[in-house]
Amino acid sequence: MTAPAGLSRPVPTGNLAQRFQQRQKILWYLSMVFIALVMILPVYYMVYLAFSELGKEFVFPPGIIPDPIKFENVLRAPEGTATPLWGYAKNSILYAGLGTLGALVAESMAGFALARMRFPGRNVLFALTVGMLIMPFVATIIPKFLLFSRIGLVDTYWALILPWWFGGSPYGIFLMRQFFLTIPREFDEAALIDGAGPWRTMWLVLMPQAVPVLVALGMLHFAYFWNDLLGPLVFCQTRVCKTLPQGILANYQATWDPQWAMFMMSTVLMVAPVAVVFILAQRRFKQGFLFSGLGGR
Amino acid sequence: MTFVTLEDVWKVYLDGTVAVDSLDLTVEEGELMVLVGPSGCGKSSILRMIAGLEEISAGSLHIGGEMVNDVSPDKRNIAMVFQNYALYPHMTVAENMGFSLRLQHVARAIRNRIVGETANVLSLSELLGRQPAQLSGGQRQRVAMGRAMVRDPRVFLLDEPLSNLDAKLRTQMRTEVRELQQRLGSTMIYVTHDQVEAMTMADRIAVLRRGVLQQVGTPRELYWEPANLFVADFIGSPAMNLLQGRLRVDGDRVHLVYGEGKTFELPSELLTGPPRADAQGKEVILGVRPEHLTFADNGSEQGIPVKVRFSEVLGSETLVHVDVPAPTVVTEGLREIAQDIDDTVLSQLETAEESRFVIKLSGDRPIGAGEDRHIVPSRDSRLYFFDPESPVTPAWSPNRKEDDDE
Repeated sequence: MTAPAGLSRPVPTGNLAQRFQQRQKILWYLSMVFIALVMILPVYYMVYLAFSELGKEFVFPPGIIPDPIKFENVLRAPEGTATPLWGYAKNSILYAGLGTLGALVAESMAGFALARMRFPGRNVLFALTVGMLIMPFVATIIPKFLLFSRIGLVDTYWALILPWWFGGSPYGIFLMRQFFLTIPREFDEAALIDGAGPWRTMWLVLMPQAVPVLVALGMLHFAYFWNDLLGPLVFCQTRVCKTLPQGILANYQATWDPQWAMFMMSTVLMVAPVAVVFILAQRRFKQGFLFSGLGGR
Repeated sequence: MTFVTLEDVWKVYLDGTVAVDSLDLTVEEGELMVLVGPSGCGKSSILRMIAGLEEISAGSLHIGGEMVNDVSPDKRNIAMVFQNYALYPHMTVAENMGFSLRLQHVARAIRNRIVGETANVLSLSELLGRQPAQLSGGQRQRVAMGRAMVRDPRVFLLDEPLSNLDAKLRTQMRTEVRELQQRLGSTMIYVTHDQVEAMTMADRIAVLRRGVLQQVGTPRELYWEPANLFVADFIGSPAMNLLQGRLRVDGDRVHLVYGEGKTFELPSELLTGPPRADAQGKEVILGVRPEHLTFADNGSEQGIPVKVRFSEVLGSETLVHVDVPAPTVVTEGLREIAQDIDDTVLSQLETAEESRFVIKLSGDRPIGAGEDRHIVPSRDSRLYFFDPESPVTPAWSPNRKEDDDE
């Protein structure tokens, strides 16, 4: 059998440049594996501890998996040492849910205004918003605390949720503005001729197109609120509004015996739902950032 | 009845750009008016001012007798079809078409009826449940028309609505839009940069250049009586042949001296009367349409000597490209095309010793490349004379007309 004319000659292999490229690729993968390990190891150790037997968490040398595996920790940990975690979880859901919703509404509206409406001082406002990105948010905690204590919101959910309804985050505003800028203005004009003002143009025409971005941004917010410890610590000192991280802290870490297995199991249980949602929505999430013209760098 | 009136309308942008310069234009009820011109001529600005998407810098705009300068777009009772259609991507065809009614809080049942009827007219009934992404270009275009029709507007505004379609579909949609407009008897203002589209669709055409209206008229008027060189060059395909030279008057006979001392006697039967006093020595651009030129009999020395370059046989007609021994008249249109290809093309054109003419012969009559022939205006042809100084100087005639005693 004869090979086709074009394929009959052997392809030259193994020149220097190719080998160099290959070596670079291997180095690249090795470093990625290393970074991944650094990220995964603590998480792995958390899960390892969560399934360990109480009091036997730190046997030396540690195995690859705990011995014995204590599945009952899943049920025992939420019971807590003093107060069950369920009440805290309810508060966390409220805080993260309403906070996310409020932040998305506020950021969308601000982003829309900055992208689409003409008003004096718009550029100054936008510059300030971007400036806020470099402001450590801790710097605003004391003024915020003073303000909320003055109007009597401290020790209620509202201290945690309301700020997000009135402004969201500068990052979110920036992201939404960038997204709205990518939508052709013809949509606004078509809607204007159809009889929609800015309000209905935004909600009926532009926001439905923003779903991927909203999903991405919403997940970032939700994860932040869900894991937030500092905010609740400052603004909530009573059981009524304490959140899950506070509950875990109160039950396990702040006691004379941390009960590491239970402590870690509560943390695993707290993180798991968010992690699962994140993994399921991963593609949408990436899409959201690509859409807004901010991803893919 | 006059339906849309623009009186001394200006559009000046914040940076000082004058997009529309003192425009006076009226559109009759039931008329399809096409605004045409090269990019940057202000046609879109005019349309957007009529729509209310741009503010009118000065002047007044009346729709249906009512001054609407300060009326919001949705209250002007107009509908607009955008170049990219701007169909809301998350809504179905039916929702897109019914959106304006929904905003007016029209009851769902009535809404569905109106949308259904409109969809019927446009043969869109099968597609009502689809989303824009699932439609072909032609279907999207039709949905955009449907969305406009549902509003039952007083005026349709169309901004290059066919430019996103491929050539064949464009020709088909052209007739579709025109038929629809005639069936509905609606008033339409249609913006395009494509003069063929303008010629085939319009009741009347308004030709614009750099924000200034050059001429308004029926396609026929523009073709036969172009107001100036710009219009003459812009309207017609292939474009009018242009030859620059100096007039020499001998008694009743008029010659054009062109190229390097060549002369061409203008056939007296094509002139409208005895030469004017000021025609002697005047520098002019002579214009003749491709179908008004023909080849002199073989061996004849009359007319303009040319070298045949090639023939395009289109079946029912033949376009013969020939070189004329005279520098090319570089019009704005030609310059734009040349620059689109390459800057060197433009400099070649400007320095060339020969210029390209196109002669349109009816039937299948190719002429061999390389032949030396002579061309003459045919007996029923028309000659146009323009001022080489500026493309917007009114067309001129070297003759006194019978009724024109100056």
